[in-house]
Amino acid sequence: MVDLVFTVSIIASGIRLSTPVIFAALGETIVERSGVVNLGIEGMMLMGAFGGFIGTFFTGSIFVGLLFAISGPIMMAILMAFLSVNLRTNQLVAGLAIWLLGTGLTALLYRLIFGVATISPKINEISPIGLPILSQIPVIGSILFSYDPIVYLAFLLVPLVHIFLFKTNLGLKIRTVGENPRQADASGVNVYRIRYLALIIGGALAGLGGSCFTLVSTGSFLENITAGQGWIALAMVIFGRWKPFYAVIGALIFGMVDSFQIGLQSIGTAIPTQFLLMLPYILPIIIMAGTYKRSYAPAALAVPYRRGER
Amino acid sequence: MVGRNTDLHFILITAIAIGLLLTLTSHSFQIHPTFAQQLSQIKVAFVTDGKFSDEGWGATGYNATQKLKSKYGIQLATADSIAIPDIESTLRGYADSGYNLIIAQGFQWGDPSVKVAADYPDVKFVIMTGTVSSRPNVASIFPMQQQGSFLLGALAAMMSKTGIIGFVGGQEYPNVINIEEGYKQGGKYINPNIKVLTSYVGEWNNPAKGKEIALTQINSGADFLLHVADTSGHGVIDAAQQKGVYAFGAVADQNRLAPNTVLTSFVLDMDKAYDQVFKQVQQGNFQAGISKPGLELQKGGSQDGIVYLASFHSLDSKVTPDVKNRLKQITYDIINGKIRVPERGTATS
Repeated sequence: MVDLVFTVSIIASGIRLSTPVIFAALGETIVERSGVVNLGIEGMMLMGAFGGFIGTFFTGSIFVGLLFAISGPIMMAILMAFLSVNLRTNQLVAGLAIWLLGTGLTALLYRLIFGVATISPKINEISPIGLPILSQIPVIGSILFSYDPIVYLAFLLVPLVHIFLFKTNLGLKIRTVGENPRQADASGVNVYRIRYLALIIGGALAGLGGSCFTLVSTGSFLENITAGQGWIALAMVIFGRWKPFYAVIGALIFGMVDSFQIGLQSIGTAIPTQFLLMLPYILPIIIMAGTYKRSYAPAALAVPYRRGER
Repeated sequence: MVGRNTDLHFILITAIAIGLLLTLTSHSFQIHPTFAQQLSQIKVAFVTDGKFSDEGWGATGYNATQKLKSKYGIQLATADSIAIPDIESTLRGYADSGYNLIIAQGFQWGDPSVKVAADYPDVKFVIMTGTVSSRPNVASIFPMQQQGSFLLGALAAMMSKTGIIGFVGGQEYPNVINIEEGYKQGGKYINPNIKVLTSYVGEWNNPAKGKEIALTQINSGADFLLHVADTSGHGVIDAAQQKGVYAFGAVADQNRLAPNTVLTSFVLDMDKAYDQVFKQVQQGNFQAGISKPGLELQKGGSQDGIVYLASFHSLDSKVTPDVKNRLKQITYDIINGKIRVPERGTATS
């Protein structure tokens, strides 16, 4: 029975660990489908984590926290859009700048607001809600079917993003802009506006992903709390061949490997800890190397578009 | 067109890989020393990898050095969250600015300090939990924290209902390995069949992961958790609170993080340690080498030690008098040398 509980708790842990990556990867899929690479996603997640914390800390309302969590990254997304769409700067450079901006700005703002305090301020994190019926299953139910609402939101978004991209008119426009912006422009689609929109959606989702760290897991904000999850999300978009479902599978694999190595450590194993700790990070690199040859990237990915130029 | 696309992917993948690597090493945030204040002859710089806001490792050292400042009116500069690549330049920066006592908190400061110390013979370097000593102006304090965690292991074993207790470490530094070992031995001292689950987060500042690790241990039956993981450990305490099991705090009295969850903490009496070091420098009898202070009975105790257990606070009634007496007996036995808690991660240089 303990073994069953153990196994189930590892699965549940994996799902929680992959949630931030799922949000960010879904957002980035939409962004890259529109032909923009947003390397700043890690910075946006940090901003989301920070905004979620600040909003909840000062108002006591998780709802306001979530609003803050998406508004900061949306502003960064607009900046990213201005740089990459209007100014047509190199998207990789612009993205790295956004990442550094997020890292630096959140640390700076946090210290400006709270100073060098020896007590870290805390908020009450969202508590888990059990799924009806399923969470009543004895022994495993309360572990496997009880998550914070934001986890359910992540999984709810997966089919929604798929439908949005592949079944709606707007999704079609986004994909067209990413494949052939000139064609899209010729048929009356405003390329700039679509890319702005995609980046804003991506920013909001990255912010939600980031907010998981402060609103769900810990209730406090720390510098660099997102710990590289944004980069994992970027890798998962490539692994997922720019399809939401596949990217989410990648994110889940990442989370599961992480929780698996945690479980393996705690039951005691001869494998060195350092090797186990490396697994969830080395995996995306191996996966990317393996899927690299047959890429399904949008044709206009990372290509700035200029109207009226041939 | 194909070539361009391939290039793009190469750049993209390289960029992601670099990003992953960079984020794995934490960022530094340095507060620069203020110059031209000649309040005292001794200028102290306090530097650490921890965060002053962590209510543990970083905070304890910060508070201890702030006390030096108010007690002796010295000039003090502090910097936290220093990443390993920035250690050497940070040390040189303070040495160049005329700081003559640099207190570096963290095992990883050892080797760079020895290197820098060679160029600044007039500057004294003190490394908390350090394992180096090869220069006359370098001292390491390597507290026998295993004695403190031995007590926690014993306490957990006396009170555990499941016979399973957990340990969550940040990274496998020598002092952390010792704490893990002491905890195990303390548990086995009471109950030879006790099962001790041990995990390492691999990071000191990832509470989300610390929490998942703790939840896994709790789901495996652990009903007492000791963390030695700085802010990652906040997640451990969080998980214990959520699941209604007890946790132990590390380095500082962390009861106020979760008053109904943190039964007690092993505390490093850095106030005492840094005060002693400062007095040595002030009186001109700086003791180089490695010192290994062990247990003391309470904060600022007359014993040589700098490791003690915090009080049970509001959870005092949860600990039976028998358990308390036995714990006290073990404490005396350790101080008197009746119980020896050998170290596994040794201080050599």
